[in-house]
Amino acid sequence: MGGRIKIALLLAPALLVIGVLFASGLFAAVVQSLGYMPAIGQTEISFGAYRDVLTDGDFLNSFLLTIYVAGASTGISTVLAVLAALALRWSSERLSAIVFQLPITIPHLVAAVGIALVVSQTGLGARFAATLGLIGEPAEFPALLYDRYSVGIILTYVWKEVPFIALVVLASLRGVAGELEDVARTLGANAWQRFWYVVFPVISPGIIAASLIVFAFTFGAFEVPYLLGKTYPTILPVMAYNEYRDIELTARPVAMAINVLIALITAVFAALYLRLAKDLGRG
Amino acid sequence: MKFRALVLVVLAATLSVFIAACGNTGGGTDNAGSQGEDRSFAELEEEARGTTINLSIYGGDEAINAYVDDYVTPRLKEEYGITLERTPLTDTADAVNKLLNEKSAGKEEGTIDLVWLNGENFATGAEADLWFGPWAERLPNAEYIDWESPSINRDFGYPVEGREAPWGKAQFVMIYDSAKVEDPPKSMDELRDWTAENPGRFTYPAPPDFTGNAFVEQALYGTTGEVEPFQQPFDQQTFDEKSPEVYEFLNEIEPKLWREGETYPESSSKLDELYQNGEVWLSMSYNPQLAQRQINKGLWPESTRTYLLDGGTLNNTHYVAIPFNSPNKAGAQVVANFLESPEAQIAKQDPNGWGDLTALDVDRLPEDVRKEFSEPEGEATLPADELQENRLPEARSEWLLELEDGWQEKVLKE
Repeated sequence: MGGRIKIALLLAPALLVIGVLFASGLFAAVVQSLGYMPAIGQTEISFGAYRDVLTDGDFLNSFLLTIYVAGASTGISTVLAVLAALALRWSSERLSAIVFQLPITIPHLVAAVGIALVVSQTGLGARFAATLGLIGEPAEFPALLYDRYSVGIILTYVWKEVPFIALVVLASLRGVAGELEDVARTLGANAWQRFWYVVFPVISPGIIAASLIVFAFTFGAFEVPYLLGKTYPTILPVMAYNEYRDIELTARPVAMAINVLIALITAVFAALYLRLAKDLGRG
Repeated sequence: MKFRALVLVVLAATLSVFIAACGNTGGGTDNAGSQGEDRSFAELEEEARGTTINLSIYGGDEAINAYVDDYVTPRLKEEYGITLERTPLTDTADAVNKLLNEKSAGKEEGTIDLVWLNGENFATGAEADLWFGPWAERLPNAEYIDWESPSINRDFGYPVEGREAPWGKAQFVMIYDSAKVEDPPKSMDELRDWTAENPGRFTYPAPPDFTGNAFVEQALYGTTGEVEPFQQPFDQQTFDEKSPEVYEFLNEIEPKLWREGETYPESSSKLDELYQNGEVWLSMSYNPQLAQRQINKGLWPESTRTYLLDGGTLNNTHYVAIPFNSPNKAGAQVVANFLESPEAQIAKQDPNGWGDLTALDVDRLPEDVRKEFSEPEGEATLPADELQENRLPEARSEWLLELEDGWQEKVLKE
């Protein structure tokens, strides 16, 4: 009994902050998305903003782009991270700490600017290519920023998220996996069998959890696509921002509706993903 | 288009409800925004001494920031005992949005004392009664300003009514590199041919960027050959008749733009950067002295030149306004008066600094001061009278908002 109270007390401050800041923000967004804004004399509740958003082709375009960017970033990051973690599993703690922990401390914004300086058509990469005589004009360097395939955005995310996923995977690799693998080896399992039947099941919960976090983050993140994205279509958070800063107040419910939809979509994906993970775990 | 119509209906409905609501409660609440200033300037100065003023101002131009921080701030401290705090904005609409939020939350004591703005930001704020006033015509230095001129008493067609003080003027200019371009395109027709001959060497900032809006507006004037209809209140029929020409033109040149028009620079500073890197050969600006300043700084090639379009270019006035909930309205007026003083205006015109055109009517100034407003220097700058003779008025804000929305729908997305 005493233990429970203690747990509740310990959790209370964190829950309070999450509750007050996050829940009330979400609540305000939902209320405004329904068109309730007494400031401009709007007190009627309506789903008009949702109808507008969902029947608008722009939303679909942005939605597909967002899924693509978040999906590609998560997929590429996860594969590279697992490979990196496997490569560095026997290395010293010090080396892996430098390789993985350093990029984590660098803000996304800085990473985006850094990537832009390297891959823009007049950036370091282009200058290097020009020195080697590979290209003559800046425009001959492939367009990797503000481009149709969002290469710059995905590159930035991969650079930032690989170390994050790799750290999580590495932690589980360094735990019980090594011992289990030794057991498997004594029983005659080959390298592939050891990975697929022993190591992978041990690290997969970590992979799933970390990649889910990355997906949810890249789906809702704003700054990198804002800096490196195309003018149109934009990803959903940028679309919401553009509506929000529209000088016409009537665009506000639309902006909030997009935000609420982003939150809902992320939640649905998380639920599906966790379900899938559970099924996999059973299988 | 349907969505747009819906928005307008909702806006109209909202406004009518809002006006009705104001009518009901009008007698009870004292609204500072509708009262204006009645104290003498000496009283304001007295009250402002030792206080702090928050100036919310677009922060994306280093020369403007430097003018405020290095010239204005120390003099205000010295002469009036006022501490000026500059809050940089990425977009002035952010400040208007903040004020709208505060108005809706009933926050009577805000944080902004003075905002730098014009056009749609002023008009939107005025519709929502966000501006304190009238006060601007009562300032001592207001006597140097030609309040009779429509380019002063109307801000993008919207009546100013003493709710903002003129700070400076801007005129749209085109910029080119004479080493690469022999004969720059002076009309939209010439631009069409030029982009066809020089693919990838021209682009413009994507609206709603301020300079991007101006280019599209300039294209509207250029393709329709008309200016006058857009000075009138907005009329959907005229818009539907006239606007297809400009979008058709912009779509026609699109494949010949930088990056084949697949994307646009998101701001004028981004366009300037493309020009600086030699990716594009033409640029544009609302500051006629920008080219010379960039040359002097060594950022742009010496061969950079400024030019005007045939038929003239847009010009407008920019202002400072005081929000309804400014905690220091007295101080804000003292600062605005200082900004309008001849010495501050002369310093503002320095081409190696901001290089902004003065808001004052130079003929009203004392003889000895007049000389200080001398001709701009440098080969990349146009003479003042050439600018003066080729001025076009901005279209009213409602037209511009429609034009921007239309650009998003018909040029960007198609």
